[in-house]
Amino acid sequence: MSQEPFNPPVSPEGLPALEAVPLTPVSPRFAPYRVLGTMLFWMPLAVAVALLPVGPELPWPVRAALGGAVLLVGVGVAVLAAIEARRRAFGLRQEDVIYSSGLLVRRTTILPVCRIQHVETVSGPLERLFGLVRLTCFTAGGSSADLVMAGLRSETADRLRQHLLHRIREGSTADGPPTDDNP
Amino acid sequence: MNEHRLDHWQRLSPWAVVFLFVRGVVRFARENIPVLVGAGAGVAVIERIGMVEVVLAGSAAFLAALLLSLLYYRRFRFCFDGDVLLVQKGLFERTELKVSAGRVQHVSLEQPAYMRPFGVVRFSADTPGGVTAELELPGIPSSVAEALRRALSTPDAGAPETVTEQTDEAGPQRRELFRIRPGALTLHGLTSNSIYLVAALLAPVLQPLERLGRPYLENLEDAAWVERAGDAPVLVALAVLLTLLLVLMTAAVIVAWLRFYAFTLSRTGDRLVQSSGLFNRQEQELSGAKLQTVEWVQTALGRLLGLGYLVCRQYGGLPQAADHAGRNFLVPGLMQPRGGELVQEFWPGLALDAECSRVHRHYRRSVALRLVPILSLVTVVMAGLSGRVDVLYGLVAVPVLAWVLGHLRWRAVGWRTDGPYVVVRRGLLGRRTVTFPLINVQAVEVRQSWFQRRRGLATLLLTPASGPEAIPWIPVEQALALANVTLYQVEMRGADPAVD
Repeated sequence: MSQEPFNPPVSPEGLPALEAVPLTPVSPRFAPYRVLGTMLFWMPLAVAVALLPVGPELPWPVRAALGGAVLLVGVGVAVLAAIEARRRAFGLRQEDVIYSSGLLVRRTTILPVCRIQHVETVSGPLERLFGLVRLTCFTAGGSSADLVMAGLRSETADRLRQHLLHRIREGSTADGPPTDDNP
Repeated sequence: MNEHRLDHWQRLSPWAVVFLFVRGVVRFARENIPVLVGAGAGVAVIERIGMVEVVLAGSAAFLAALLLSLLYYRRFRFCFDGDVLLVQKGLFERTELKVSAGRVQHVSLEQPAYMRPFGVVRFSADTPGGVTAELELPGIPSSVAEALRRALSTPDAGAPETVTEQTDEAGPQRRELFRIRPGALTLHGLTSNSIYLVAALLAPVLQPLERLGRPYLENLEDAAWVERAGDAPVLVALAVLLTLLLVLMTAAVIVAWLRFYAFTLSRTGDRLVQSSGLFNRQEQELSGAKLQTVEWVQTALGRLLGLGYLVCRQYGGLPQAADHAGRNFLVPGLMQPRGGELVQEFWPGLALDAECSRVHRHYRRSVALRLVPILSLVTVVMAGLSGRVDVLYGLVAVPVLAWVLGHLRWRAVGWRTDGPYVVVRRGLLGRRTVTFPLINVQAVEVRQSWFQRRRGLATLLLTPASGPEAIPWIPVEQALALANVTLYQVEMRGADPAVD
């Protein structure tokens, strides 16, 4: 036999229910961060469309209207990004980490702690401006199985990282999850 | 009796220089020749520079490649210390690789035809790490390679201090699981997807061939049989198509024979070993504990003939990569019952041919709705390129075609759990049935679009270490129940024994 599968009798009613886990929203600063990040991409694009000679010679009002249209799309995307950011949430159970994201398509990813190989925290300049950190949990399954938790406050991310590293070291020994400091 | 010591630094076989040189030349030719030949630029370059200069430049490149191969050989050394294989190499940059025996999931021995008389093989081993984390010894005596393989397969046994040409240590018995027959190999060539790969490879050659043959074709214009052929263009087109198909089929069969000639699959303890190849003999070894998924694949033609093949995927495999790529382990030319028996060798107790549950019928509509804009765009682009407005009438057929494709897709997709295993099936005309134990899952994702939320449906993604497998459009209660059971199994089992 190449691999002995783990197959104890399981009662579906007795299992810890994923849907019953209360999730904690990410930092409220994540929404303005997403708005600013989106606008920093779209505003230069709108200015470029309005000022640069693209295609045939167009009169100024037409160019300004084109730039305005691009800006309007950017504002729309930014609003959607802000709404999506407010709906992001995470949860921590004894044996796994849960992260929920998405607006039209909601994604809830669950990563068992025993599968985490190492943990990394990253923050870009804009994220540091808002005191935010991204926490990435790496698995042996490559990028498709890694979990990226964006929008965490740096204190929360640090405590979460410490907790996960402790759990990885200790295996499956009992340890209380860190409390979240989101207001 | 020839004797080697593995625990001391040693060099590659001197014949490795030949292997390194040939490989370098082949790689250079593969990367550059199609560009030159395909565009006809090679001829233009030769005409502009002159044949003598081109020959001189080629000779200089030849000597440089030989010199670099010699230098690489001189700087390459390896040893097996304790249970760690150490390799030092590098031409301009020194690299030292260390691989612990317990981490190795896959060992491959490759022997090209020109290395066979010298008894030298290419040895490679990889770990569950990154996609490119491969350790390679490009040319060592086959006895040393065998000893290294044994040492890496049984890390607890430690390194054998010496290796003799004739080793007959007591160990687990080798049991043959499958040996391919010539008929099955030919059928595998015909039914596998390599026919499309051959067509894709031949495509760049067609234009230069047409250019070369043009003077001959122009001379044929006055021939009587060409004039007669002009009277029946449909017959001629059919004959050309049939000839092309026959060429492709022959090429696909040749490819299958080259790659899978004398294919055998055997088991030694927990290790699975496959060997195959006509000119380039290859032997691959895979740890059963590190096996992630086993996939039963049937192309459309294969389904008609009841023929398919198995793909065993390991850690770090590329989900979208070709079935035979990298660390994937392909068992070709299997009739359906034999495929089921072999799947039971990997996953005891799993019935491959049991009925799968269909996903919700809304999945069909979802696929069709996604296809409509794509097919419409293709039609509009075709109309634009051909300059014919009547092509746009094809837009009327787009919804029908999208619905048919959606229906075929929906019929192909299915899933079921079978004890500790999960089975996920997908396809269009062909079928790919992925099987894996729930405990192999690394991450779980429940995905719901706006429409799925309204209908109480969800898509469940289970991700073993070989890549994600999706069960689309099932009732959300079922998705959550399977997610909960999977997480329970994984978390109760604890840390992954295959990577720890």
